[in-house]
Amino acid sequence: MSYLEVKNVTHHFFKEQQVATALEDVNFTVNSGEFVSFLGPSGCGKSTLLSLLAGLLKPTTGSINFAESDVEIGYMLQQDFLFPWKTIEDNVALGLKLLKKEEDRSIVDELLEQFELAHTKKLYPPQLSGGMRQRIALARTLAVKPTLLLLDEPFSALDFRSKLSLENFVSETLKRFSTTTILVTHDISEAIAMSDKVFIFSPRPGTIVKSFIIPQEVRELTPFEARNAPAFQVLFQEIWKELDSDEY
Amino acid sequence: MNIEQLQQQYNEKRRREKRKIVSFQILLLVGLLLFWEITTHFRILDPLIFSSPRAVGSLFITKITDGTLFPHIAITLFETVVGFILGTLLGTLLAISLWSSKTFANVMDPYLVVLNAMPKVAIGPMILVVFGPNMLAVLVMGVLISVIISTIVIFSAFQQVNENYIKVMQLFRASKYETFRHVILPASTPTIISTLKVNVGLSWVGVIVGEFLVSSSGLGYLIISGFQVFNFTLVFLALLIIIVLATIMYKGVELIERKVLEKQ
Repeated sequence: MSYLEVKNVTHHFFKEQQVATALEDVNFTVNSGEFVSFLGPSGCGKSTLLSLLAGLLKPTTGSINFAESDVEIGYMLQQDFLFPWKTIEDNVALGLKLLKKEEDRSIVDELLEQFELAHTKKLYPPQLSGGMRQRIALARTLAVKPTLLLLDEPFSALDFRSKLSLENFVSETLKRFSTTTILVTHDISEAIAMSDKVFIFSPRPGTIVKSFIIPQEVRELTPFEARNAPAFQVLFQEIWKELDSDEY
Repeated sequence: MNIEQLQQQYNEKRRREKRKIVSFQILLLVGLLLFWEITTHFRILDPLIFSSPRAVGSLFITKITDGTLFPHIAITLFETVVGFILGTLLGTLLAISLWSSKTFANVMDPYLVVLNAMPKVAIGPMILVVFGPNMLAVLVMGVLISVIISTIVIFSAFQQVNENYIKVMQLFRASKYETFRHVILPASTPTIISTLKVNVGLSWVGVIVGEFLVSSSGLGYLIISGFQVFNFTLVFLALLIIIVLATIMYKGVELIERKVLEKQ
C-alpha cells in the first residue's frame, strides 16, 4: 500500500481573459519513507503540485489520497523566509506554537544541537549566512515532525558550495527521521543524487512524461559522493536526453 | 603605529568637518536674527508688522513671569499629542479592519480616495458647529487631518508584506489573527513608525487650525488674537514656540523609531 496516491489530477488557474492549465492528468504514488523528485523546467507546474499536496490549493479534478489520516505536512520554500523580527529559536518554534504543540518545545533545542547551530539561538536571521538560514528553515519544518516533507527547490538560492553541503546534510537528516519526501527541482544532478525515484515533468501543462528509478548503489551514497559514481553519469545522460526531447 | 596615526588623523578630520558645519549653522541663525533686528530697528522693515527679536524676547519674559503663556502652551501641546496619538491609532485600527476583509476594503476604496483628496481643514467650520467651540473640536480637527492618510499608508504596507511569509503561516494552519500578529504587524512596523513622523507635522496643522476656529485658548488662539489687535510681537512669539515644540516632538518620534528598529 503506497503512502500517497495521486490520481488523474488536473489543475487550472482562472483569470478574466483566459484559463491556464497548470497540471494535466498527473498520476503517481509514493511509498512511505521514499525520496521522490520531480524534475522539469521552470514554470512547468511543479510548485503548483506541491501546493496541491500541501492542501493550499484544491485540484480542479482528480484525487489526492494519503494512506494515513493524520498527515502532518512540512513545506520548505526556495528561500528560507525566516521572520527577521523573531530570534532563531522563535523561528524554529513557530510551527509548534501555531499548531498548539508547545509542550514539544524541547525539540527546538535538540534540532539546533543536531544541526550544530545551537549558538545561533538568540540571534536574528539577518545575522546568519544563507546556508545557515536554510538549515534553520529545515529545522522549523522538521520541528513539527512532518510525515510528508515537500521541498520546493530549497537549494536553488544558495551558492554552489553551500548547496552541496546542504544536500548532504538534508539527505542524512531525512534518512535519520525516515521522512517521506518530495523534492521539486530543475537541477538534474540534484534530483539523481538525492532521490530514490525521479519523475520527469513536461512544461505547460505539466504532466509526468517519464520516471526513473535510481539504482541502489547510487542511493546508498551521500549526494556528494553519488555525483562521482559511474551509474550517476549514465543516468544523467539518459535524463538529459529525455529533457532535451521535451525542449527543455 | 602608522595605522593608528592615520586613524587619528581621519577622526580629527571628521571632527573638524563637523565643527565647521555646526559653527556655520549657528552663524546663520545669529545672522538671521541680527538681520531681523537691524532691519526693523532702522525701519527698513516695518516693526509694527515684523516686530523684532528683542520685542519678542521681552514679551516672552513678561508672559513667562506673569504666567499667562504657560497655560496656552500646555493646552496646545496636550491637544497635539492626543490628536497625534489618536490619529495614528485610529488609522492603524482602520487599516486592520480593511485588511481583515477584502470585501470591506474594496467597498471602502473610493471613499478613502475622496476623503484623502478632500482638504480636511475645509470642514473645520462644520466641526465647530457640531462639537461646539471647545477643546473637543480642536482634537477632532487634529485627528481628522492625519487619520485618513495614516489608514491608507498603513493598509498599503499590510498589503505589501511578502506573501511567502503568509504562505509559511498558512502551512502551519495559522488563523488570520495569528498571521496578523506574527507577520503583518511586525513586518509593517517600520512603515507605521514613519507615518508617525508625518503625523507629527499634520497634527500641528490640525490643532493650530482648530484653535484659529475655536479661538478660546492655545498657541493658535494667540496667533489669531495677536493678528486681530495688530500685536505681531505676540504672533511671532507663538510661532517661534510652535516651531521649537514641533521640532522637539519630531526628534522624539525619531528617537522612538531608532529604539524600535534597533530591536528588530
